[in-house]
Amino acid sequence: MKRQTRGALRVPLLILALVFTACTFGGVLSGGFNTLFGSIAEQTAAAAAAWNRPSDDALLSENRRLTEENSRLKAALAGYAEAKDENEKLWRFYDMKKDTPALSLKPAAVLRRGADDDCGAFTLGVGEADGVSVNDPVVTENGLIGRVTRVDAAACSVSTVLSPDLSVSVTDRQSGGSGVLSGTAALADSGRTAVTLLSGSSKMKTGDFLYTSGAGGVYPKNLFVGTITEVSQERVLAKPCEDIGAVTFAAVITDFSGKGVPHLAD
Amino acid sequence: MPTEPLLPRQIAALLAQTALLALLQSLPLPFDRPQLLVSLAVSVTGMLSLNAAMGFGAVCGVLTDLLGSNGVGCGAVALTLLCAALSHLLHGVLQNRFLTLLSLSLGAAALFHGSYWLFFRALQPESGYLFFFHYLPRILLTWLAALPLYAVNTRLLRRRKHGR
Repeated sequence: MKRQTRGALRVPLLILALVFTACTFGGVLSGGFNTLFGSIAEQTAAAAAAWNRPSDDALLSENRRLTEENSRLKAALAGYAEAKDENEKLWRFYDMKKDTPALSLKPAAVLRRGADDDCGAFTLGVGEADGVSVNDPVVTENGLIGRVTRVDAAACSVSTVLSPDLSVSVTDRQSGGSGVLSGTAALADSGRTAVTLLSGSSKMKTGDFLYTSGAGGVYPKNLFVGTITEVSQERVLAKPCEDIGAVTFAAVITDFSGKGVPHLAD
Repeated sequence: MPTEPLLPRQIAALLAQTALLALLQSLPLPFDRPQLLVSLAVSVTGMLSLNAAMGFGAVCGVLTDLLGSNGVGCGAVALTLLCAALSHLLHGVLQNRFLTLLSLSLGAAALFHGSYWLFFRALQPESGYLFFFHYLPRILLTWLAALPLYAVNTRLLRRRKHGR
């Protein structure tokens, strides 16, 4: 009887042992899986992106909105050009060079969005083999959208700026205010995130642009993060630089000047 | 308890379903979807022996984790144990009928998603909102997806029982 029980338990215990082994070597398994099936995932992702493509009306409306924004930015650029000119004169006067952080980028397509991924998280098709490591910032051509939270040989998981897992130190250049940008589940559903722990928030106003402060050395300084959409006494809400749910291509910043060097924001 | 080994074509059909559902589950779509591999593992548990159900649960669990963003671990262990428990209940304690599986698969989907929420999301701000508006729909969708899969696989595996 005892022998029979032992025999019956042998297979379930073996299966459990195999599962625990798979968990222990999850990174290797995940790397192998993504290397083998990465191209299939890319094809399905491309097909899904084509299926998700916006309608002509949506594109026209987006075009109109962008044209308006373009004129607004051109007006802002006139002021910026003056400031830049003045800035250059000052730098020349002091014979100093502005330190521009050099960014090493690894672009890749979005491979997957898992059924259990919250707040817009996704998997990108670059991994350790490309020099990607945990906590590397993830950007699109418009600015910062997230951070690498897990990496294997061929792919990496990204948490976005909509997630409460992420805290990004940001500054509002127009008002000089600063704070920490971090999301919640409810705000993520409306495509927005919140700025808390504010200093100088009273001067912040709707439409101001938020940039990374570079404090902590996790994110490069001066990356565009989003636009303030609502200012109240309790909190400031912001819209990220991208529609996170529609991102199909992004890049990981594998290196930048000041990486890992904690310093205070200006 | 069905103990006959699966026919090669039945194994092939199960693997084909697994591959197809894995592909569907990995599509980068930005809305709540069912965990199709969980639905598949739960729906076939009653038609397989304890060891086969547990093994298939382990395969689906590992695949589910590989297709997610959180690494191999929680899902694999949870689905292996869930399939073992379901198989034990369906073959040894309860009557192996559609209605039994209907309620058990709802419980399994709730346990799978609920445990993930409890361990990884419950302490985050607005975790209640996340549960009601995202995890609850996922539980229901995973449960609903198990029903057609149950119907398909009952046909596939019944032939084995009757030797056809």
